[in-house]
Amino acid sequence: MKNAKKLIVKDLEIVYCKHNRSLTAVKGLSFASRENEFLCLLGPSGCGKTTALNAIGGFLSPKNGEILLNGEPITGPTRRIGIVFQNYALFPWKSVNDNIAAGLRMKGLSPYKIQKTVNYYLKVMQLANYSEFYPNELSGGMQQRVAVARTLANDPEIILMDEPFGSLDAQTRINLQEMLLRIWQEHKKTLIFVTHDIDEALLLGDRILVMTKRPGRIRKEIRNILPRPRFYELSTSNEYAKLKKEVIKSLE
Amino acid sequence: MPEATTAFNKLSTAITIGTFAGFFILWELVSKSGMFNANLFPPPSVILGAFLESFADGEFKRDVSASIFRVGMGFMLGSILGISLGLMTGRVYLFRVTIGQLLNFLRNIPSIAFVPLAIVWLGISEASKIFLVVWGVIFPVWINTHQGAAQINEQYLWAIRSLGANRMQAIKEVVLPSTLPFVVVGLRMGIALAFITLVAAEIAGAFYGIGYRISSSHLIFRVDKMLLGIVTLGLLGFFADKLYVFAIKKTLPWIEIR
Amino acid sequence: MARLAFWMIGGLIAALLGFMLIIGEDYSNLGFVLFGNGAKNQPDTIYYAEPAALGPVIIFVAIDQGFFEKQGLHVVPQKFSSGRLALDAVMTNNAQFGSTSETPFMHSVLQGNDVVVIATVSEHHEAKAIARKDKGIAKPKDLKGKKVATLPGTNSDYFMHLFLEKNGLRPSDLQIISMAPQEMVIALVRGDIDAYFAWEPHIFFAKKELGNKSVIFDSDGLYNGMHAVVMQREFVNKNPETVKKIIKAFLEAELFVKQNHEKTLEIAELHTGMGREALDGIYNDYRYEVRLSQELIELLNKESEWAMDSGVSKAAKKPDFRESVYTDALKEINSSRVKVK
Repeated sequence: MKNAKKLIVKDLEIVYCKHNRSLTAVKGLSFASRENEFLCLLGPSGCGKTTALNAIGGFLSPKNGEILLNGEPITGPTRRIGIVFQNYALFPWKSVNDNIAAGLRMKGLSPYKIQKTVNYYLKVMQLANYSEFYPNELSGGMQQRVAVARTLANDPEIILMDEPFGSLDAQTRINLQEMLLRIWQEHKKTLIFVTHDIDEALLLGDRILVMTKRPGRIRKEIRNILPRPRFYELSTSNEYAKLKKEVIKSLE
Repeated sequence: MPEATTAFNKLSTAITIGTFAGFFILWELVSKSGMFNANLFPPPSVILGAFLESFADGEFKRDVSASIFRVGMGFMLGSILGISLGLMTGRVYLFRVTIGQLLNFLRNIPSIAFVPLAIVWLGISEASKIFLVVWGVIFPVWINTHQGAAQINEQYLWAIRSLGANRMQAIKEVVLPSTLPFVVVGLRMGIALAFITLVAAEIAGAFYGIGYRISSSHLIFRVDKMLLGIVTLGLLGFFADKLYVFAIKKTLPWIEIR
Repeated sequence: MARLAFWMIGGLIAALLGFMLIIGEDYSNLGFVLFGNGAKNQPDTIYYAEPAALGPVIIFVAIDQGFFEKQGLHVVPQKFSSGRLALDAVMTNNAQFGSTSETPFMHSVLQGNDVVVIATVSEHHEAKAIARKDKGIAKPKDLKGKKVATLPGTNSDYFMHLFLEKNGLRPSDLQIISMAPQEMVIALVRGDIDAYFAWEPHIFFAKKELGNKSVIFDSDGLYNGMHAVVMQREFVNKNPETVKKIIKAFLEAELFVKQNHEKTLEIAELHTGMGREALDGIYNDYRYEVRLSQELIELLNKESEWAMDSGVSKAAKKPDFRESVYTDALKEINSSRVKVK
């Protein structure tokens, strides 16, 4: 069932309460993702896309609506849903190696198996020479690579990414985007990627869900028919420009 | 700051030693200059004489080992209690509003205020002195641990949970290590306070110890011995701190400590 | 960077100035503490370092009955818990005169401090020992092997030395612990120690708690101490008239004490904080008289020998205590009171 719905979000409503003031971040948000689909959530800052992602991750309880993974509701964080944060959230007290191994160690696998998996991802993310370094000794780009490796190594069913390249410089961002595309191409996984960067959404996603301002819901769904595998040069093509126009128009 | 190469470190150590040497030389000159009453302000050379005298009859060794024992025991006990309490009040709301508030009240009472009571409750055994040192150590350790435990970055907890951690694993993998930098700071303060409260502790019915020696030397007008005790305390505290920083750098390299 | 350094240094200087401002009047004292030179105060206002004890009752009376004022002196008492601390105050120029038992004075001279006694204002046997009968102590020799507390540098410590000698004991025969008298009382009552040597009223308090369970060894006859009025030699040399006025006030107070028992007790109560019960119990241990006797010199000599023998002092030679006594003032006013050879 290749087109089976992996993740279903229905009528999601999330409200923040602080000091007797309440803020509706997300209301009436609905979408679905197929298996192994690269889905981009695109929207302006403050539209609630991070909040929605955190709810899918199981960290926030919605006021209304439901989130279903393989038909079952999400009740809390689970290793089936991996997440990569914008500020990496690497454990500063663990080395690169131990960060990547964190999820695997808690599963109780054999040390041999764990190290094999870690070594594999060290290679894939080009971190092999840095396995004993600590996060505070790495650049931003490298830290994010560790974060991605950590999530991938744990082999979740779907992966959430919250503007993972947002705090990196343009060049590093491009490198990591291409790296992500390569990896995803090889180990297809359901990926939900949140961003405010139109170019990033166009480069990466199979489908782009454009969100409204707060309280966020889906305003338009745009299918990204640009061919894969994609590389950065794609951004100079005509089809790219046409698609981009469409996206920009939907954001107005 | 320039790079921490070995050459730089050696230079730094040399400068530090030079500073101390300069300090003692200046003291010697000022003391000898006659500006001050020589009996009330003896120079380092006289204090060195007092040290030799005290060392020769074994008194110095006995005092220092007794004091180190009390500081060590008090620090260990105070640290264990402080860390445990800090984890409790930092992470569990009920503890924060009960024990936490009690501790906030108690921590404003200095050790020295307890000296007479310590004798009444615990007599003149080591217990009364160790109690006073514990009292001095427990509060900085508690409050720093509390800070660390209360401010754990939620994202680390989210990250570890979505890697599959249950409650216990989350505590072991995130809560404890996250609190650690604060505990390190608290313990460092605890070391300093252990030495500071030691003198108060040894006023209470001691018969040897550095603090005792300082107060009993006062009774017989031996200002040179008083200053010997004071300098010894300063040096012990100084080296204890250096040892601590070294130990932390070696065992927890990811923590920033200067 | 230089900006920051400038502000930090400036802040430090401002704090220092503020600190000095707060000390205000006492700044003059701070100077004395640091520089230890002679007193600069006008002889009109005199500070007396007053210990909480019964030795200086004559001085209490002189203050309260205005005998100093009569001499044109304004004497301000500064209270200290012990004679030892009062002596500190004199040595650091925080008081022009103080009073203490002779033992701390002896130690001070031994260490080379230039202080003198202008008169003694009482003789007493306030030093005593108290022991617990229920720890097996009925007579002096029973102290052997027991835990005994004393406070080094005090007259009761010297008494202990004499007491042990007299009863054929050596310090090494006992387990000697050093404590302050207040702690001794508690420790004895708790049973942490078996006996202690101290001075009144700390014996009285323990006796009150323990009653028949305790036995007291008095010092009368073996050791009679003296309460000495002490000044820095430099002050005495610069202000001989002031010293005379003080002595005159003492003599007048001595007469008052002899003639007004009740009022004297009231004054003593006020100054020492001791209750009437305690006062009545120990008042008779003291004889109030203004003197400078040969016994004082001999006592100081014997005590310094003890101090040097027991290794407490590092003085090379024994001082001549005749030089530590200032007889001029008292001799001039009433020569019969001075019996120093």
